[in-house]
Amino acid sequence: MDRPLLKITDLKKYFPVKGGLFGRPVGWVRAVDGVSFEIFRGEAFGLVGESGSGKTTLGQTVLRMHGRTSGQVMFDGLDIHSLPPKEFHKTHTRMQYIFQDPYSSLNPRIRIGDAIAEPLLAHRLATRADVGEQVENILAQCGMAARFMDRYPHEFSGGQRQRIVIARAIALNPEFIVADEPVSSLDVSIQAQIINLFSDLQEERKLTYLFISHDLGIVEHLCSRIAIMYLGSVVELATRSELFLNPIHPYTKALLSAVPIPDPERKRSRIVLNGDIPSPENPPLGCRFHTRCPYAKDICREKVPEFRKVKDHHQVACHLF
Amino acid sequence: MEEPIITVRNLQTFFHLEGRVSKAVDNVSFSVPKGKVICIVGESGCGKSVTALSLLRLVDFPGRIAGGEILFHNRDILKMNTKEIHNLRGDKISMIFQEPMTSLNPVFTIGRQISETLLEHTLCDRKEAWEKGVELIKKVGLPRAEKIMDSYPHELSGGMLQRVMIAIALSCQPELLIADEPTTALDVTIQAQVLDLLRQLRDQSDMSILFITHDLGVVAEIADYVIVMYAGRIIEEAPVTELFRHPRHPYTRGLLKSRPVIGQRRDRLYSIKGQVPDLSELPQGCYFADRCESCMEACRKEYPESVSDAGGHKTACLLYKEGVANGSTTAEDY
Repeated sequence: MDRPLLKITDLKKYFPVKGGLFGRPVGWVRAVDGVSFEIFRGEAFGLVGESGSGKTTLGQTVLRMHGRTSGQVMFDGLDIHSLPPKEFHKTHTRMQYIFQDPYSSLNPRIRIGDAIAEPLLAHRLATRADVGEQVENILAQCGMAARFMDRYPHEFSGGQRQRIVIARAIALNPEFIVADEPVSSLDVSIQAQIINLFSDLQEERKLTYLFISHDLGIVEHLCSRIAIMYLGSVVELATRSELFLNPIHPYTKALLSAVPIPDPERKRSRIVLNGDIPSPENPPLGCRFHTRCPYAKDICREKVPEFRKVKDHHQVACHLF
Repeated sequence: MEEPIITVRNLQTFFHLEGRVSKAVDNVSFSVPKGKVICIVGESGCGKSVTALSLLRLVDFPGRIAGGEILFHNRDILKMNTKEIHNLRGDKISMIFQEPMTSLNPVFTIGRQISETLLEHTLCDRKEAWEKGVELIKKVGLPRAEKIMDSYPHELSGGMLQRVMIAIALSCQPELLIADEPTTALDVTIQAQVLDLLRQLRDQSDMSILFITHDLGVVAEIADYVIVMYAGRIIEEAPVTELFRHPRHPYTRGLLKSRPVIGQRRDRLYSIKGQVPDLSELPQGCYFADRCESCMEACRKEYPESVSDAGGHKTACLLYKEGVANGSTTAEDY
């Protein structure tokens, strides 16, 4: 197999909980707690989890939007978190981030043409003279007409804004894009348009995605390998067909069975989980899922399950298998 | 057929903005029978939430209910005086909203907020109201009810708060519960819990639910009867199995096709081109004409009337003007 484009090894990111008289840390929120996986060139890798599972923190830590606590992120042989600032600045052209909310990721006072031109000029990939033409091309690729260049973000709908945000992200011709719930704030009919745009761009530009989402339907459509995250760690990682046909981890099974299916006549046995996701500040001992797991045994309460390979392209962290 | 709890006839709710009129809800008619779940489904801006708010006359300036009638047990809600409508809200008809975090007052305990409704609408004292509150919290499936009564909203998670909201809404045993996207802000596993709870409550108490959502998956899970809205109008309505078996309106069919369904992966998602029209500059003909694949010349001339077939499946689309005739060409290509 090829060399992975991105290799994450035992990555941890803790946030301090400040308290007391002098604001000293009194505890730690373990947002990402020991995650390892690889993403290969040209693949769309899906990261699924509920709110509070740490999927966004993981995505941001991968791009060094904040520091790590420990662990390593290797991007094409570069240790992202140890690069000196100048070197790190150069990697911006190779990796980009797309945020969930297209309404707050564009500056309301900057014309969208300028917003897309800015990174091109900052990295000297265009001159003032030919930047307009480049922006036009990029917008066209994202399904937007050139006449929109002089408009401000408020003149666009959510779907159009997300196209603009995507256009800005691909302007620098990156290899790797982290997309954090890029369609979840959009309407169903618009979602489909944007998802198709993601697949088109992937094909045309040979992009590699880390696609973060809570929506299993979308992830199944777009991603070839998928990791399921729960409370800061990955509980299952498999190829698309493996994960959806033979889910192993009880959490994955519950998640799959909870997704509403638009067919009122299909009766399913649903695994309804009790309770909520526990606080990452004080995660349960042993397996983190044991408080909600219908099959929890004594060992689950004591020992953290190892994340191991059960077959080719299928890894899981569970004592029961 | 049993008399419906609430009947809406030709409801019109308009927003007056900068000298223009946005027809957020236009000519909407439907009724909610006893003990049934009616779902209104549509995308943002289709008027589904404004319809719900209109039922309790909660539409704020610059919105205004411009016409129609809302009959609750044969009394027009739109003609009630302030006191009458006040007595109705939270007692006979109650409502839960999308964001449980912002629906509760952060500075009062859960217990106080539950008792408030009971003290307002029933003849009970503080102690009884508190005890009733504990019961309600147990009923919606929350553990440690007494402790929750003493806690503040920020101490609970989103799923727990939505259960508290449901408990408050149920406190006076309403005949109609209006639920406006109650599970949208929740995670899927929690959404499954809340949907189960709502179904259970309906079965136990014969309460009717008007459920507003944008998610057709959720509709399939909970609805008895479905109303599809687009740009302020009802474009299709039918019993739930009928709607999913034979969706007719090109918009409904497009919506069903554009959603990726687990286990039915296709290489490319179907997408409806374009976007929802501006509600203040609606076209003359069918509002969906610009985005429709089967648009005909006649579609641009006048807004199609809603036609019902023998089974009660109503569609506002010229393709179905002759009624049942070509209604069978639907499910195959989906």
